[in-house]
Parts: sequence; structure tokens; C-alpha cells
Amino acid sequence: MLTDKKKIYIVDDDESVCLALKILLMTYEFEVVTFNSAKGFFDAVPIDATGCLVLDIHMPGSDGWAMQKELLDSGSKISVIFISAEKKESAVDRAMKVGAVGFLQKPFDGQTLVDLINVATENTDSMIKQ
Amino acid sequence: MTMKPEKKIIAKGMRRAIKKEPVRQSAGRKVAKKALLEQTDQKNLKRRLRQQTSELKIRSGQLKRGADREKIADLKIEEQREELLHVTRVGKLAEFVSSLAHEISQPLTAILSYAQAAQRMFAGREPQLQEILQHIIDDDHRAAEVIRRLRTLLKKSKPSLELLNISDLINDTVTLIITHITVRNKIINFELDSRLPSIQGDRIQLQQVLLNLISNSLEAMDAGSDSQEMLIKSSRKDADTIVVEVRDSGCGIPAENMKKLFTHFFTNKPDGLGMGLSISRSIIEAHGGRLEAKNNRDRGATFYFTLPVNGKKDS
Repeated sequence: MLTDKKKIYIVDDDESVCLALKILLMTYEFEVVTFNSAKGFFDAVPIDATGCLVLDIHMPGSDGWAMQKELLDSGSKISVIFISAEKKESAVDRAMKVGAVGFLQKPFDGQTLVDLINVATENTDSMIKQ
Repeated sequence: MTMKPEKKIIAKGMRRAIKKEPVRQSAGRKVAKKALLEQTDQKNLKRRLRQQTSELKIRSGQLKRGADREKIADLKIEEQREELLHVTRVGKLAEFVSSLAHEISQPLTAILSYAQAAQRMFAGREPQLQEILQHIIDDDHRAAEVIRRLRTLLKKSKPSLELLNISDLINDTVTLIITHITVRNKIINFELDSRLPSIQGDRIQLQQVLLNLISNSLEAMDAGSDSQEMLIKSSRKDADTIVVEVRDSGCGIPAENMKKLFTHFFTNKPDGLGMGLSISRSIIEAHGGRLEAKNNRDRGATFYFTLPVNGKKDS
């Protein structure tokens, strides 16, 4: 049933990344919605929505950090997995500090992302350092 | 009375004589003196001339040294300017590589995800397709690794060292591009010493150097050479050093390019970035070795690098 599927949101300014991740995650039976900007996400997703957000850090306009803060400030229960082309130790630490479930450097293996999503949706409090 | 005037006269004459005498004497001496003086003057003049000449020589020497110093100072300034330009270029390059890495990572993410999605969609079916998908995934990883290393290189971080057998590494590296070599109708020969002692190095970085040297050789042979054979040789230079040679039978290196070969952004290829050899040299130097080039006696060029055995410094 559609409602049993875990809901995944992807926010990345690169449409190709969004589509590829969506197709990949759908093969794992997730329900996937993609957005190319933070604004697109906030316009469409209600504050009380649950699930997992795969969030790109480097985006024009409101970047991943700003969007996650806005989400946190609004009291959202969505767990966040940061993705970024750059891997800086400081960014990994920062992601953990702001309460993200994980940080993945692009390109990453689908299975790694899925493992993180499973952890995120099963135990939203747990933090895994990648 | 008469005496008086006589006396007077005499006296006068005497006086005159006495008076005059010195005058005459003086005139004679003057002449002698003049002659002496002239002689002395000439001597003095000569001496002074000699003195002045030697002073001039010293001065001109000083001036020359000054000019030399100026030349050296100019050279130093030129060197510093080059260094500065280099730093700026490397700085700009790091910036450029960083944004390039970001831009390339995006499609690499998409490619990897598409391929893995397809693999899952065809799981247990279509073995040939599965194999192709796996190649796509492997190459995607390889490209990501190159970007990661390039970033590391420009950050000047220390390489990750492991014990390596250089001949094995050469074989592994050639495997990566053997298709490329065969497709271009090139022949690659090996003279690999299997008994070489291991070296300490960064596998990916050394592979990058080998790939760079091999692809340069291939391109040199593309440039209208009738021979299409290249040779990779590994041997022991001395107790503490091994040497790897990549010899081609291509167009060789024009003398005027020899000095600039390893400079950043120097390239003779229309689509070259001019980074390959300069990065390769910095990799080899970071490993304690040297990367050099020479033209072969018959034809083509040889690029060769040394590496210290087991991390010993190459002297």
C-alpha cells in the first residue's frame, strides 16, 4: 500500500541529481518527492509532515544549512541527511551538531543512503557520523 | 770719497751682482728645476695616469660588479615575480579545481544513482547489462577518486602511504588504459624487474603519474610518427633508488620546450591544460624522488622518475 511507504524528500538544485536519486530510492520502495529549492519544499510540504529529507548543502538562495535551521525552528519532525559534493570535516561536525542523521559526500552509493534513511526513519534521535 | 762711491758702486755692483747672482742662479736652477719638475711632473703624470688607470679599472670593475649585482637582483626579482605568479596561478587553480570538482560531482552522483537503480531494476536478469552497469559504477568511483585526489593534491596534504611494488603498480595502471592503447593501434612493451624492493607511496597518485606519462607518450606518437611502440621499464638505479622509464618513439621534445615542460600551464597541446607534468613532478617530489625528461638518441622521448626504496630519501 502506498501509505506504508516511507516518505523521502529530496532537495537539490541539480535536477539530474534529484531525478536519479528519486529513481534509485523508488527501487527501494520509498515514496519520493523532489524539490529544486528550499522555497519549493516549504511551499509544498506542511510543517507537521514526517519522513526523511535528503538535503543538498550547496544551493543558490537558501542553502542546506539555512533550510535545516528553518525546519528545526518551525518544530518539524523530519530527519535530515545532508549531501554535498565537498567533504570538509568541519561540515560533517556541523551536520552532527545541528542534529542531522548523517552527512554523505557526493557521489555516494545508493545502499549507504538507504541504510541512513532506514536509521533516520526508525530512530530519529540517533546520529550516525559517516 | 771716491772709495765711497766705488765702494758704493762696487757695493752697488756687488749688491747688484749679489742681488743679480741669485737671480741668474735662480734662473739656472729654475730651468734645472723646471726640467726636474717637468721630469717629475711627467713621472707624476705617468704615476697619476697609472693610478687613475688602475682606479678606473677598479671603478669599472666595481661598476661591472654593480651591474652584475643589478643583473642578479633583476633575476631575483624575476624569480620572485614568477613565484608570485605561480602562487597566484596555483591559488586560482585550487579555486578552479574546487568549483570544477563540485560541478563534476553532481553528474557523477546522478550517473551512479541511475546505474545503481538500473542494476536493482534488472537484478537477477540480463547479466551482460549488469556487467556494463557495474563498469559504469566502477568508473564513476574512479572519477570521484581522481577528483578527491586532485583536491587533496592542491591542498598540499600528505599522501596516504602504503608499501607498493612498482612493477605491479605499472601493470595495474596499464590495465586501466589498455583498451585505449589498443584502439589507437599502439604497442606497449614492458621491461619490468619483478625483484625490485617495495617502495612507500600513494597508489592513486603514482597511478596518476603513470597514466599521465603514458598518455603523453601516446599523444607524442599520434603526432605523425611512423613508429608506434612504447616501452615501460622498471629497474634498480642503486641500492636506495628505483627508476621507472616511460619511453616513446614519438616526435620528441623540441629543445625550446625542454625547460618549460614541468611548468604549470605549459602545454603544446591545443586542448591541454598544462597541468599533467607539473602535477606529476610534484607528486614524485612529494615521494622523495625526481621526474625528468630527455630525448632519445634515435627518436622520441623518455620520461623517467626515481623513487626511494622503502621511503629512503633520494640523493
